[in-house]
Amino acid sequence: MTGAPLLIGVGNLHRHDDALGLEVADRAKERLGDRARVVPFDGESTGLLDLWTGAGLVVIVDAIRSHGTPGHLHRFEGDLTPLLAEPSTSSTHGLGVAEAWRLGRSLDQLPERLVVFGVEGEDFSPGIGLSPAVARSLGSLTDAIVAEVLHPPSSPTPEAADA
Amino acid sequence: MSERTIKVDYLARVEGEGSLHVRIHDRTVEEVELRIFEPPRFFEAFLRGRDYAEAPDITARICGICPVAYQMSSCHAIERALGIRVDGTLRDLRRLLYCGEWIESHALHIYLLHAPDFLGYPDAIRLAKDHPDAVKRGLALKKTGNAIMRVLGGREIHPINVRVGGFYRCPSREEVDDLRADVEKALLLAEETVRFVAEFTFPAVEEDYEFVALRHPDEYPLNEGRIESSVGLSIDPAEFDGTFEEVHVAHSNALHSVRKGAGSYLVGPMARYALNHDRLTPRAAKVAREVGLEPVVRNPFRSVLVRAVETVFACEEALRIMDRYRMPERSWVEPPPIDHPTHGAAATEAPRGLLYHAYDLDPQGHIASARIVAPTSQNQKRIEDDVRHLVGRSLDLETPDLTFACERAIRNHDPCISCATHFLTLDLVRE
Repeated sequence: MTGAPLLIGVGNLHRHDDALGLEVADRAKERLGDRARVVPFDGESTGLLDLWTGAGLVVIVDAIRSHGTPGHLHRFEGDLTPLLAEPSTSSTHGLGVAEAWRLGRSLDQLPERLVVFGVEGEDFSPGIGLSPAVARSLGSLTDAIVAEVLHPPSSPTPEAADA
Repeated sequence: MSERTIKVDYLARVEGEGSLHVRIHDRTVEEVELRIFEPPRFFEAFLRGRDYAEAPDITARICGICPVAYQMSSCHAIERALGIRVDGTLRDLRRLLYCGEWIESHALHIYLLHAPDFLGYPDAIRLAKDHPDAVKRGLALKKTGNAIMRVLGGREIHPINVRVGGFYRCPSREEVDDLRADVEKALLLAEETVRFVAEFTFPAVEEDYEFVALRHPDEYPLNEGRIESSVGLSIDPAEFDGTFEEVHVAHSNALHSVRKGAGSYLVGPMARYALNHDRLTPRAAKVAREVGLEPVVRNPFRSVLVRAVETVFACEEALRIMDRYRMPERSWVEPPPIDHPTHGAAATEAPRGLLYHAYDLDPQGHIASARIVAPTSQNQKRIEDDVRHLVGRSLDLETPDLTFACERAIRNHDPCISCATHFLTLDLVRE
C-alpha cells in the first residue's frame, strides 16, 4: 500500500446534514494525528481524482439520501455502482463520489483501495448545523471511520455491505 | 388542434439542478420556462448583520465552481464603499487568482459538460472511455487552474486567503515560480483545446444577442472596467441598478434580469469576446485567427470555441503576472474605520459572465443589505429566448430529439443554476 491512508470528508457546510462528511473528518483528524492524511472536500468531484490518484488506502465519508434512518452508516468498497444515481442525469454539482469513481475507472486513475462510507442525512436544505439524529450519531460514526483507516479489513469486500 | 409538451425534469450537465418546460400549441411555441427551484436569496439574507470582512468568505460558498468571482466582486464592492483602491502587485495577484478560476471552470465545461454534446456521448464518463486523452487534457488543465487557486487562495475550493484590501498572505516568489512549469504546459494544452474544439460540427444558427460585459482600457476584463453592451451602453458598475432590473417570474426561484426599456441580454464568454477581442493576449489572438474565429460570435454552439480561446488568454495572462511577480511588503491595504453608513457596488467577470455585488454598510461596519446578481440569472431569460427560437425551427423533430436539442441549447451557456439561486430539473408540451 502506498503511503499513509487518506481520509476525505466530502460535504457542504451550508447544507445542514451535507456537512456531515466534513464534520466526521474534522473529528477523525484529531484522533488520527500523523497516522493518516485527512482532507476536507467541498468542491466538484473530479477534484477527487487529483486527490486519490496514486494513493494507497483512501477512505471517503459523505452524506447520502436514501430515505433510511438518519445517521445510518453504509459501507462500500471497490464497486460503487450502488451509489450511482441515474448515470445520464448528473450535473457537476450533483456529480458525486460514485461518478468520480466511474470517471477514474475509465481513465485508470483510481487509488489502490477505495472505501466509501455513506451516512444517511435527513435535512439538505440551505443552512448550517446537523439535524439532531445525525448529530447524535457523530461519535459512533467517527469511531467506525477511525477504525477503518487504522485497521482496514485484510481483504477488500467484493460487494457493498451495510456496516 | 394539437398540443405537445417537452419536459426535462432534471437538466444534465449544467451546474446545479433545474428543469425546462416547453409547451407547443398548433405549431406555435406558447411557453418556454427555465425553472429553478431552490430557495432564492438565501445568501443575501445570510449576509445581513455580518461584518463586512466576512462577505468574501461567505459569498465564496455560493458556488464550488466560481468562488473567486464571488470573492472578487464582494471585495471590490466593499472597497468602493470604504473608498480604498487596490493596485500594483496586489491587483496583479487578484488577476492571477481569477485566471486560475477561469482555467479550472472553462476546462470543466469544455471537456466534461459540453464536449459530449458535439461528440455524441451522453456524459463525460462514456466520452472518457473512447477519448481518454482528451478528457485527461481537460483534467490536466483543470488541475493547473486549481493549483493557482490553491497557491493564491490558500486552497482550491472556497479559497480562504482573500480579504477586503488584498490577501491575508501573499505567496513567496518561490511558491509562484513553482507553478510556472505547469502553467506553461497548460498554455500548450489550452492551444490544443482550441484546435480540438474547432474540429467539432456546429449547427448553423445565429442569434441576435445584446452582449453585456466589462470593458477595460488596456486589458481583457477580469476585475474591473465599465459595463458596456453591443448596442452602445457604457456605464460605471455603480449605475447597474439604474440600468438593469430583476423581474420575478412565477416559474422560477431565480429572478429574470432585463435591461430597462429593452429586454434580455447575454453575459459570459461570447459577450466578453465580442466586446473585447481586441484586448486578447498575443497567443490567444493568434490561435483564434488560426481556427477562423470571427470577431463577434453569434452562434451559441460556437461558445465552446470562445471559452477555449479565453482559456489560452488566462494561461498567458497568468504567466505574464508570474514573470514580473515580487512579493509585496504588505499583503493588504488597511481599510479605514467606518463612522457613517456607506454603499458600494462593483462587477467582475466570473467565468460565466458579469457578477454584480452591492452592499450597504452601517456605521459599525455591518452589512445592512446585500444584493448579488449572478451571471446565470442575467442569462436566464436570454437562454429561454434561445430555446424558444430553437423549438420554433425544429418543430418536426421527434420529442426525444427535440428535448435533447433544448438541453444542448441550454448547455451552450454553461449555466450555473447553483449561482442563480441554487439547484435546475425539461418539460415539453405539444398541444
